[in-house]
Amino acid sequence: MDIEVGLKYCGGCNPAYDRKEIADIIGRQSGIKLKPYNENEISDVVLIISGCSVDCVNAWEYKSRCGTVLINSPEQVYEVIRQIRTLKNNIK
Amino acid sequence: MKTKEQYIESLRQLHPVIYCNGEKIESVVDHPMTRPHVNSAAMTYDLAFDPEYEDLMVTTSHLTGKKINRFTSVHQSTDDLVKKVKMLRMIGQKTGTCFQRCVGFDAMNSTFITTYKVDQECGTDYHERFKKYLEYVQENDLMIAGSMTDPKGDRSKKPGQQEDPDLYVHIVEKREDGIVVRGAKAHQTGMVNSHEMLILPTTNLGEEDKDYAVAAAIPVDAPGVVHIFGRQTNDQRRLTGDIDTGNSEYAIVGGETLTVLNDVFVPWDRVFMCGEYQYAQEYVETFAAYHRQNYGGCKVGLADVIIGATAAMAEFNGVPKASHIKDKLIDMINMSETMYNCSIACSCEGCKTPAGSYYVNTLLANTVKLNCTKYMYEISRLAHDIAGGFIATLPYEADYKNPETKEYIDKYLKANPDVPTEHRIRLARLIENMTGGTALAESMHGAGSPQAMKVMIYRESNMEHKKKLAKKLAKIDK
Repeated sequence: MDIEVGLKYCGGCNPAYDRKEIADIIGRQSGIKLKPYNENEISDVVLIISGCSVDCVNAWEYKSRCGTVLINSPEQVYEVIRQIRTLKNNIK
Repeated sequence: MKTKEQYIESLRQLHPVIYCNGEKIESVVDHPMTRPHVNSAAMTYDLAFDPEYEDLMVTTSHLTGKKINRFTSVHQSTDDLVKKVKMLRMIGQKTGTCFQRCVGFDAMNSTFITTYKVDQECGTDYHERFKKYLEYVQENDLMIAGSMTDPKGDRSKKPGQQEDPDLYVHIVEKREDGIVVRGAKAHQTGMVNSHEMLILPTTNLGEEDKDYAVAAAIPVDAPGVVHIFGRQTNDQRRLTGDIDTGNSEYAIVGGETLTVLNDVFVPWDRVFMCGEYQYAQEYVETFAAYHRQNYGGCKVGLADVIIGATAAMAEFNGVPKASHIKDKLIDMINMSETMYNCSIACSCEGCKTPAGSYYVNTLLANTVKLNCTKYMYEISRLAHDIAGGFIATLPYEADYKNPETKEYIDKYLKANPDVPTEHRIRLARLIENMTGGTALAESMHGAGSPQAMKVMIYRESNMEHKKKLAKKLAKIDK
């Protein structure tokens, strides 16, 4: 079963890293297709990519079936992939 | 919300009277003098549809519950105030110049607060009128030119004392269906590529100045409105190529105008103040505080570009590791982030107004802009220091493109062998564009001149409290 991941970016005012590049890496490494978050289509997981440690996105505003995964640093990429895979396995 | 394309198309439907350098501009979208400013404002529309930036660009209307462009919103929390600053910084990083739309944003937010207060105390219905107008702006995602600054004439005299009564916009006729206004507004950012202007008073007023207490929304192409486009440093370079202008896509500052209102009729549903002179000062100060908040957003976005250009130029010049250059870059970052700190602080320390919207901390908002009047000059000075004098002596673009001279320029203006000469020239022109002339004057006088901030800072500081603190520690009884 494929997992649906809705991707939500912070506003990108002063990102400490390239958020889009990290999204691409997560997508490639996890083999999961990320699509832009759409409030009218609830996805399995919401992935929030914050450009810095402020984490200014109000995570509670974004609805999903299984949970929300946050990343605010490139160092968290593999942990985030692990979390998404765990959620994916839980769905199976 | 409008897309970038819809915004540009909507401008084609308007027919404002615009003069520029002795000619009439028929289409702001197609004329090379105005097109870059259209591009810059269009960025505020385009980014609202980009998932990477929508979190800052899009919000929810408190009037309709619909998703709207943040530039048409009324702040509903301190978080909104913070997001405004972050949004401005982010857009500034992309345009490298003014994107103009914040002025109307601030004019609408200050009008929301002031009309509520006037209605509460005077029994008028301006606030309800304004809310209807705001809903119209949000539904159509309009760009509003915030239109405050009058020409002012003799600065020692109040509006009613001027030799020429038109040096401040005033009401010349009240009719059953509306009012007629006359005067002019100066330094009007983004005016020619806005849909409408929201005029408001520019100074405190006395009873004798009652007719000058006027706020109203006017289409930019209303009968009687004439725009005279301002000349900027090196602006005609955009007519002859793309290298020498430095930022050919978005140009420099906000395409300001002198906008003349020759007996312009405004229907009552677009009038939001008409004679309530006693609220003019508070109106102006509210607008000014919101607008001064911005400078630690947009200018910091521009500073991010200047700092990046300067660091890249150090590499292009072959000296990226020189310790003094790193030290100067750190100074530039420190000043830039200090401005940002002030803007974030004045937003976090904002408060709820009786109208229900949120307003910045006035004292802290004024520190933002006062710092900006100094730091943008110092950041620019350091950029010049690091980049080198060649930013002021480069040959013409036409000579660079001329086969007879190109190879000399390529040969003798090369520095780091890994960097093409053209890249070095392009970066130098960008630094020149962003750090001199009109750009600097805008940092000084946009949102008010430094003395205006000093007056506010002193007024908002509790000096007696500070003196008491000192006296207590010094054990002085009185």
